[in-house]
Amino acid sequence: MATLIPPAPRKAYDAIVVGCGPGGSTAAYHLAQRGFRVLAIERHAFPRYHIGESLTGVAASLLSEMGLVDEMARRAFPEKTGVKVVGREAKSAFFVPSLVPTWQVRRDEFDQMLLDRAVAVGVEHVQGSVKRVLRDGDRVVGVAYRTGSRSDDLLQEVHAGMVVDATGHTALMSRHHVAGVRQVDAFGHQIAVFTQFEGALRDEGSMGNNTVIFYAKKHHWAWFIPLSETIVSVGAVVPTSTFKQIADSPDALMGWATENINPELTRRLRDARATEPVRTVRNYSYRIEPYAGPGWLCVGDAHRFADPIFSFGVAFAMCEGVAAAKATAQALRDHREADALADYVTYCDRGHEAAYDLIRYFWRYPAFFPFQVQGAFRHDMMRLFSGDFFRDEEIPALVAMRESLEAFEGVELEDGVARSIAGRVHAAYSDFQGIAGAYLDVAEGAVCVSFVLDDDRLELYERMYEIEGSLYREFGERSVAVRAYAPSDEADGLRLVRQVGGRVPRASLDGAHRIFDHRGAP
Amino acid sequence: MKRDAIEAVLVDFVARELLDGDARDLDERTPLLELGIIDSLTIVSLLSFLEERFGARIAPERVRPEHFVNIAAIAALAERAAPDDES
Repeated sequence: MATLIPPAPRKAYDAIVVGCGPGGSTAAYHLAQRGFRVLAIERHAFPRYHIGESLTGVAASLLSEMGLVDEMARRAFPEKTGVKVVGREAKSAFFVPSLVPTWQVRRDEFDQMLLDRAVAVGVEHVQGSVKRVLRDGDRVVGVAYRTGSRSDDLLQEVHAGMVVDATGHTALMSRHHVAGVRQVDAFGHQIAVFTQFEGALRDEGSMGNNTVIFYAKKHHWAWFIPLSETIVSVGAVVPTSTFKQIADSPDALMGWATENINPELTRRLRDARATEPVRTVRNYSYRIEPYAGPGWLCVGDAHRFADPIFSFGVAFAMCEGVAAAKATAQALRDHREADALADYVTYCDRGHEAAYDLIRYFWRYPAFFPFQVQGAFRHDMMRLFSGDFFRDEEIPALVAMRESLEAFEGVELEDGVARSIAGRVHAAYSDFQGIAGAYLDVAEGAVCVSFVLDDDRLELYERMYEIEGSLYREFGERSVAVRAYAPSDEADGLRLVRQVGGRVPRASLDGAHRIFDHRGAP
Repeated sequence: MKRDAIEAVLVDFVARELLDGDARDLDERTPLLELGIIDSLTIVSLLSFLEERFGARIAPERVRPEHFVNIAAIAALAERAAPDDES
């Protein structure tokens, strides 16, 4: 028997926003401001804990647009003027100022504040859990949600011209097979452990409110984010393979990290005391495509999460929330849905690609990164660190980093088809965690791309579909093969774990051209 | 100074200062980046050497990986950055 009278007074809205984190509330606010009737559904009772506690510079103007600057000051969120990056063994450090000051935020309060603001301008908010996505042919036309926790509580159906999925890592639309499947992305084999400390040593004065990033060897790093006068959020991120070797629990990993990631982090935490349990997120790097379609679109983490190192996520989701409101308005009011959604995707992809290239440049060329933030590129790098990379204009520092990322030495091939295939494989996979190497073999019209994996994982196979598909289309399925090798105890240390497609010029990697190979890299 | 002379000086420097003299196979094509010979510490001593020895001040935005893949690339960078009247 149903026990609750559904609280939603309407059955139809202009737009439904599912998820009331920063992306969802920002989208809902801007939709309501444009005069649309908006229902915002959130699963959790607010306030609630959430990780992701630092904003980049672009957030300042977004919060100003929402009339929240005074409120940010009243709540005494620490003002962030930049990011300090401390290198291996604390032997180097550099500081990147934010284009404009922004904030570190306690997410329970911050998210509540954004949602309250959306409600204040007319968004209807309901606590409930979406159980179904309603469709009419190809079109999403609404959702069905449940307000109570009992399975026999009534499912409430609501309809709208646009459903905005802002459900974060839950990825509602992907889970309900509306959006594409969740694919593992480049930093997909990482584990993050985090807690909060009291009594941690900060820099003097206003510098003491800034983010500090400490890094060790590749893909090993930690964050230090002041959340109030007394509390600092500290997290450590390492590859899952490192975790398995050094610790048997998240608590043990946290302990190991505070001692071993960076001596400067150790110094800052010497007399500090953890005030929260150690929490964990792992294998968090994914992307979902497509992430917009007739009657629906995804915002923020609901379609992509690359890596948390430069704190792009929250402000990123807010930028996408603004863009989602604009696209929705164009779809509903001007009946230009297809164009509006295409523009939205272009906008989001531009930002994500910039963030992704910045992060992979950081990990691939740690010796060069500190120079990139000095000299002629300094302002560009401030801009990138501020998350201001959605505009359709060239950023010279980003162009330079992309040139460096695309340059590769591995293949001794003349310009031509093979070189172009190698270039594509290099661009797509050379910074992909879990893929240690790639080789190319060409003979008598047959092309074979061979990957060397860190271990035999199905999710890595899925990431090869992309290159397989494009090679098949170009050369025909019978002329192309894609193979994968994983470590083994056999003589050459590798065993063939997967082979698809047609003819293979040679049985092994001997004689194939190296595209890249990180095995044995420092 | 001619490019090959710069290269010879650099081979000597890399062998002596960055590889502690253990550099039998080192030449101007050895992939320094890939082998991890150029890192955040060695690049600093390399840059000061370029300035002291050739008067080549490398602007930060030119300190990019493609200019440090091997000694030939570093020599080309140094040659472009060195004052024209270098004897």
